[in-house]
Amino acid sequence: MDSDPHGVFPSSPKYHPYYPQNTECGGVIDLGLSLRTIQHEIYHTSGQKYCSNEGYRRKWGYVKVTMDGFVVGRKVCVLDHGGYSTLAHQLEDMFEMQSVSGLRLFQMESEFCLVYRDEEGIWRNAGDVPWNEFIESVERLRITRRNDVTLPF
Amino acid sequence: MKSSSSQSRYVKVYKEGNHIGRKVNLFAFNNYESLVAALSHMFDTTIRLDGDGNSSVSRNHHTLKYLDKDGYWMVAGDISWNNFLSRAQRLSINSPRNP
Repeated sequence: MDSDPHGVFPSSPKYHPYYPQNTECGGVIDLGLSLRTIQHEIYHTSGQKYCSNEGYRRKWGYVKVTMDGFVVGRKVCVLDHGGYSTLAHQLEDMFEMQSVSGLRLFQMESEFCLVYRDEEGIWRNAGDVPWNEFIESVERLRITRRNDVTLPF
Repeated sequence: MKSSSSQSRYVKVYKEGNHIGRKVNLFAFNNYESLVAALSHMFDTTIRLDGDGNSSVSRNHHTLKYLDKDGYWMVAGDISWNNFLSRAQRLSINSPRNP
């Protein structure tokens, strides 16, 4: 049983944090024995985006965002952001027409809250864990109304 | 079943209010801009990509969304063009007031 089909974890033989997975980009063999930082972004023909900062394991930074009551979803790249505030700002731009007073995510008085589904399939409240931990585990985002949250936690 | 080296990928396109749809070959375009230009001409309207979040500016135009592999309607333009090619199953042109 392959519990890590996408090679996200370092112990997986498919894990290659800094080098492309396909042979089109060169035959570099990385034994993973040293830490290296590649200060540029690598775009595959498939459109995958690698974060330029060392330590990030995820290969694909885009996650789907839906908002309850709104039929159309968006996609955001969590690797584009340095923290929750800029992510909230982008979501505000994307979904602003869906609320009268703005989303005001992460504000106590807001009627909206941001939840996410992590790599284990568990829905959690966004903002609880440090940002670096969040972007490595987030798989899906959802904007819900605070009074309507019926997700199993 | 077409092979992966097929030179065409036709998807249905419907415009809000029109019962008759069209078909476009996504592989005939290199980027979102050329696709939007062709659709704007095909449906005689102005379609604006909402990728940069300027929703207030686009209220006089139509927006483009696509049906992805998971069955969700998504705003076109957020992901790279190459990823869009593999994920888009159907297109829809809507007014911003009725996305």
